Amino acid sequence: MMRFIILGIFYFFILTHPALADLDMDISEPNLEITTGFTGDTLTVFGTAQPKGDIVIIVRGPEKKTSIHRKVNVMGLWLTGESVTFKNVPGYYNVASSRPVLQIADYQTRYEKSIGLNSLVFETERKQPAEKKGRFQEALIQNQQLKGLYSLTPNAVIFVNNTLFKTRIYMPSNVPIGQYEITAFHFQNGELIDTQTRPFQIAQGGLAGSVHNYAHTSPFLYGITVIFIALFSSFLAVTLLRRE
Amino acid sequence: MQIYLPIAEMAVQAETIAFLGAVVGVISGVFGIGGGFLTTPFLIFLGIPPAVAVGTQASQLVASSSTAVVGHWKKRNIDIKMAGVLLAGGLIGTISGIFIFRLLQYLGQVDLVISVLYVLFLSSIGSMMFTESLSTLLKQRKMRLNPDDQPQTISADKQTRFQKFRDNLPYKMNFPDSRVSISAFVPLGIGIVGGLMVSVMGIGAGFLLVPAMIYLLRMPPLLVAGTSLAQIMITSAFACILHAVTNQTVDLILASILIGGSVIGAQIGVRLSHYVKGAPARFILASIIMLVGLKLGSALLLPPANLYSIMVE
Repeated sequence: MMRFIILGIFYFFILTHPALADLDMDISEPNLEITTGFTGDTLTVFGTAQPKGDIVIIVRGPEKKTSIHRKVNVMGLWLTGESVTFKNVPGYYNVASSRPVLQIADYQTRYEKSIGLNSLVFETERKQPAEKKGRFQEALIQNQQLKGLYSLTPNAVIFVNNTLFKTRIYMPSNVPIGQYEITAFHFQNGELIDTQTRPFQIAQGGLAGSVHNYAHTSPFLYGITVIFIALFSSFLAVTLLRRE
Repeated sequence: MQIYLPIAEMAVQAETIAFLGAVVGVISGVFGIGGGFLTTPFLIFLGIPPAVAVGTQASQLVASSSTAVVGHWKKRNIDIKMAGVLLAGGLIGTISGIFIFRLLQYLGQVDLVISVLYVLFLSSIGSMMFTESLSTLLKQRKMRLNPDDQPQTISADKQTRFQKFRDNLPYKMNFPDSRVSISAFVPLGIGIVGGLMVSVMGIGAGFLLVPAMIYLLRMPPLLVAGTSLAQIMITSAFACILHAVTNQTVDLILASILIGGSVIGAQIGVRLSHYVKGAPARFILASIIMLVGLKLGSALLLPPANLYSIMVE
């Protein structure tokens, strides 16, 4: 409900003051709370851009050191073979744009601003041959896409009228927790004219959050609690279901 | 109903986990085993990270062994001194196992090592149990046909090289309850293997402990069941706490659903166990073990759907 009110206020605000800024952007929720019932969520990113032009919205998750291993066949057995470790892999990366990004910006700009799956720059932990690095980076991106963590959706940013745009960003249930960044790029005839960035937080809340916190703040007591639950439920079942 | 697991950081179908727990519970009730060999591979198969599967599974082993331990304790079927030495080994094994697990994770080989260990373990135990139970079943049938045939007794104690080695080990200890005198290294070693299996594979390894205690320690069978269960329960509890402290890989929500299913299943299993006994029961169990082994083995042999695996630190 809250998000509709905020959305309503915002729409009212921007519709009555259409000429305030070249680019303005906000999110339906300032942060996302993952509770026990979480099965994924959709975020609405909206804003105004004047003049109309092209809009690219990038949602980027926290960067983590990530290894990717490739299986190889050794004498009939599928074993884990070579691997590459990348230092700065975002756990989530979603590009939504008003047109395919290839038509919006040139290679140089896309590369500099990391716009598009092929423009992501990953650094390897150890020096790797360019061919191997490229192969593993491509596989990594494909696997993240399969998990629903990376996506590129052209035509996902819709202009409601001449200035107001909006898009929906899907966060799957396996979305990593942490500090996110949402950036809106405003292009005009292939030229980047403005950028806006908002932080965005994904954290566990409710019961899930309490459990997660408990596990990380007092791991010993947490372990004892799990053992206690195990003992308690087993004796409860025996007592309740005992046959005379 | 989808439920979000705070440690695995993903959503799963709660009914699937509860059903898995119940099936494992029934099997553990019927055959008097922990059933870890079924739970861990299935959790991994459902997409739960191996570390979380193994860490959480340890708590299910505590639940499935605890009531039996109390029963054996009341009947004084536990050799406490022997259990103490086994446990000392169990703790050493668990701590080393957790280090090994972390090393394998670092090397990106956890999935592979777990499945290879499972295939080796399940296929050897399964086939041994399978042939043993099958030959007993055939013998029983033959006996019924020719009641005069006496079953052959196992040939008298020949001192094998292994027995000599075992009996010459230092630090002999007396275990009055079991009426054996043996080097402390033997139960310690058995305990270490048990601890390693709990912490690396998430199985109680009763399959391995029971015959080892009968043949290597020469304990009376009556004490073997209680003592091995006590060892499994405490080692698993220790492994669970250690996984929680060192890696934060024990999922309380996952554990609760799994245990909820398994304790109810176990009560059903105990009732069913009156109908399935002895060689036929071992035959069924051996078939289940071999099927799980085959399933995991085929994963190693068939070309994988996805050649790549990703690990985030």
